[in-house]
Amino acid sequence: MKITAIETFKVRTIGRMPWLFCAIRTDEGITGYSEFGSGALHMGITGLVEDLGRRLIGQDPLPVDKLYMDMYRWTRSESGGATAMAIAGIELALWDIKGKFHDVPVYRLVGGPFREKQRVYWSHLATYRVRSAEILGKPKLRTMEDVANCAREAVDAGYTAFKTNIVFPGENPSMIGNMFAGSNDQNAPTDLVRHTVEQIGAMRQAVGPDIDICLDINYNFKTEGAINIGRALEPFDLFWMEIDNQDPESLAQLKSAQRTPICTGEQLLGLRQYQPYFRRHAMDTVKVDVQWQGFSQAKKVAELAEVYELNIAPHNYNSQLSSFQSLNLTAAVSNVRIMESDVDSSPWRDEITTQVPEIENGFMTIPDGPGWGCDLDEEAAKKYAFEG
Amino acid sequence: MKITDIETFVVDAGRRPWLFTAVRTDEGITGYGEFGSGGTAHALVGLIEDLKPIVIGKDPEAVEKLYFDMYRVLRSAPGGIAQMGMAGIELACWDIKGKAMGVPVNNLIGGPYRDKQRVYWSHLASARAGDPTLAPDKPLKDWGAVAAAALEAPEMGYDAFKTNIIWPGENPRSISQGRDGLSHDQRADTELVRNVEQQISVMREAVGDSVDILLDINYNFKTEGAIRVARALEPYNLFWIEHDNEDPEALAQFKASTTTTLCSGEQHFTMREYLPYFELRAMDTVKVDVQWQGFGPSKKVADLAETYELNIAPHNPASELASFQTVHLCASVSNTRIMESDPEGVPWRFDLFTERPEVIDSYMTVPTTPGWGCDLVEDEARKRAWNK
Repeated sequence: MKITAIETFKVRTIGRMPWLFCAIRTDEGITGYSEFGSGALHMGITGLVEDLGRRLIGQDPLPVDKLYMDMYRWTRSESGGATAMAIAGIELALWDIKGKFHDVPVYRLVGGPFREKQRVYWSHLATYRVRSAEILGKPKLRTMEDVANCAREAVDAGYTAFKTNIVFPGENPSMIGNMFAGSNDQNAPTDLVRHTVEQIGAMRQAVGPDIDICLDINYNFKTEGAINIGRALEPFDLFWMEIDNQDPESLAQLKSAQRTPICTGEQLLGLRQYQPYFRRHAMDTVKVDVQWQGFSQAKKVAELAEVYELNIAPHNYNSQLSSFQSLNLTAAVSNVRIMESDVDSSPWRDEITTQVPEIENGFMTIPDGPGWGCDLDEEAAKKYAFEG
Repeated sequence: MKITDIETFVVDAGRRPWLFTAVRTDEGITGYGEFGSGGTAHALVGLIEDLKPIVIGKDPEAVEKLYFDMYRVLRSAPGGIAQMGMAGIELACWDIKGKAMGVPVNNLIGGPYRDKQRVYWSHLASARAGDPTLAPDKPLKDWGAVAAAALEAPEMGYDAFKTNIIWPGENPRSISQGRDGLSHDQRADTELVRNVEQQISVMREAVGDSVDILLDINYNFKTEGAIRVARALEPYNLFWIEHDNEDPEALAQFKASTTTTLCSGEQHFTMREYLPYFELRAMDTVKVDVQWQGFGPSKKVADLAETYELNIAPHNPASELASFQTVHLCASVSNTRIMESDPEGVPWRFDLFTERPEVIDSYMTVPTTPGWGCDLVEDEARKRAWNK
């Protein structure tokens, strides 16, 4: 079998960034699909798929790890980040080809399944309704009670866990957004800490003690601010507080300075980047993104985490194909805490893939179709093509 | 002053293209930057497009603030090609700032520390082994031809040169880091060690003791192989052996196990990536690339190196504008060992620029005109556009 073509697709979303997909075609008629990368750098990342893809034409797609290393070698001077994301796009599509070729799900190629279903949490609860309530057909977030109602909705839908971000309800609702451009020193002033306590307090009161609540503070705070927020939220028994922080020793400090469990790591790509954090046991749960680093690297990270007595939680906020890829990871490793899942999403999300995951009582069923068990619908992807 | 547009130029320079940015302003000043690595040209052109919306309309003179605006947006995919893309914009903004204030970039931030910078002739013989058209009348048919090539350096006034491992013959070749797609386990087998010992011994015999010889082994060996090569070369008193290795503790071991001096670091971007190496004093000389990480980040790395009692050596394998940018870094910091310079390249390279670097007796003159002191000739760049 030989690779004959590599193509990327960008699909628009209700947010500013597109979803990215890769299709790899072969002379035996098998096409492998992947969802990959972060839409924030879509031109750079798809450009790199073109730089790398042209060198793979004519090669056998089945030795996936070997082809990964070839691509890694070609870009070793600029490894990580967007480079790892583009390589992931190709690698993931190759795994899909390999699964389809052998007629088994990807997790069976590598020694799973470890499980038949995977617990998920409703992610970005309330968060996406800040900007997109109308297109989602949901009530606007005018008051903190509206935010609490989002939490009740998750429980009514059968979810036992959800994750939110710091939001400000009102006539013009907003959310914390300083991970993007603008002057910002990542401070957590007193009024912001109080506001966060009010939000999590309202949500905890709405759902009672048995529902797990996660809060993602992303890159919004330096270590000091994160410690202050973590301490202030101790009474609410969070499942975790999630933070992105690029200094492993600071994270180890954060973990020991307050009692809210810490989840981190989504921006780390590849085994080498996780090691300094693992050595310091700098997190309680390890965030791992399949779409950003590829399946093999994500699996290797999970396996190393096992050695350090750590569980992983897949980062998964894109279209349904991402959920299928992430479920194949959780079925392929021994140490999963929980998996992310977006319930509020672009209304056309379910149209652009051939399958949608089955969800029952907050658990997703591990798919049993060959490859990822889900294809991109190329016609639908073109219909909803990202233009901007 | 406001940024009104950014244009990217990809110029066909033979084996790899050169990349340039032109950042235009509402006051008529255009700043130029040479950036990135030609191996990922599509990706880098795309990244500039991704970053454009963040910087258009902003003040180019607040260049470090602008850098942070870009950094925040791609914080989930830092380093690698994203860093190179940011560098393309950042470097052009330094050029604008220098031109607007009528001073060379090194003067803007506290230089000059020097008025000339010692350089070495890089890729001596190895460039010709990879591309015999560079010197068709001097084929590397045997070790005698390699010795003659080494002698060209002192004949041209250079008192230092750097080479890579080559095999002379009817079809000469240089070592490839596995980038040619062949399976490659980064081993230094006995035949290879004997070959490199022969090469360095022939070159040392040709030029005598008054010329410094540097050898770059890049990513070609695991730590064991690198130590083997370095030990075999101890009798030849190398200026340094240059080695890319992504494990700081492995490099510290390498340094402790041989008397050959070690230079490393070209693939690291920003202080954060250098710190683990500095903490272990894992190299003797620190390689720093301005075109890959930007001017501000490079200067910060050099300043941090100073506190670790380390000197830097700028990596500079690209075109003339890169030499201008790089020599400005040398003039802006206190701790430079030597600087890379490629005297050989496509014959029309000087047509691309308004100026060419002055090299007298192995020293490059630090420019004294505003900005970088060298502009891209845009029409020539367009004429030689890379369309692959």
